[in-house]
Amino acid sequence: MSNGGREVGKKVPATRRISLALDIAAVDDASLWLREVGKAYGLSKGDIFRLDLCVTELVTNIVSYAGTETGAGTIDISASIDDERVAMEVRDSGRPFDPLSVAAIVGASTLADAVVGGYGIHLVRSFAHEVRYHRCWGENVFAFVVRRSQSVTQDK
Amino acid sequence: MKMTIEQADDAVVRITFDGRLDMQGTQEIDQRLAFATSTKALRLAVDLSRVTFLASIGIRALVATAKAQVARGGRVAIVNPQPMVRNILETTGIDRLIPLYDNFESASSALRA
Repeated sequence: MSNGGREVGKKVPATRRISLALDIAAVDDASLWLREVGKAYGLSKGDIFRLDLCVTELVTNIVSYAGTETGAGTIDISASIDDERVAMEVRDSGRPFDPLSVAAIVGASTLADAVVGGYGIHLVRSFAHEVRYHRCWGENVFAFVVRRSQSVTQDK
Repeated sequence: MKMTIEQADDAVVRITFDGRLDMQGTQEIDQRLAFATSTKALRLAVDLSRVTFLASIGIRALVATAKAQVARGGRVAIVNPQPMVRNILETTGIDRLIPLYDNFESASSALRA
């Protein structure tokens, strides 16, 4: 029996959204929003930490590198939460920028050789369970998934 | 973000952070940290036991501090990061550049050696 493509008995994910101006304040505002959503939906501290880290790094990247020609723009974030996972999407109207195109950092063996920065996208790749980027209707769209800790048998 | 600096024993300076080393927290301590650690060689124990979150901008501050100290002949150790913060330090390879210790006493012994 057709049910519009949904699996019988499967809960529809709850979705929460926020829209922020594309400026430096968005980093802390996105983090605060994400932590509040995580608490409201009963996510574990570890899951909230992973999501917070990924959102913080992605929004930091956007305000650092994807600024618009006019200086105006928005960052739209959504979180879809079900019993097994949290699917996040971060959209921005800035210049095209694919964080996944950034070369992976090569671990230095000494402090003298170490780079000071560039760890952000490495953290997103490491702490999210799925990541993908595409450009859509003039926006950068970065999607990632964190599987909720009780449903992860072999946590990263 | 709170930051305290103390002469912890006869050889080691301890810097303790308390809060989130995210963009806001790092901006709050960045200048004071650079001022305290960039002028002379120290044996420096950076206590992260009260740090609840570490973003890449906080890693940048830690690495910059350690690089500045090593360039001056100083030494730096990280003390007792919480499990998720430790995970971040290990994932980024920072633990291979700045050694981690479970408590101040073992960090102090290593910094003196």
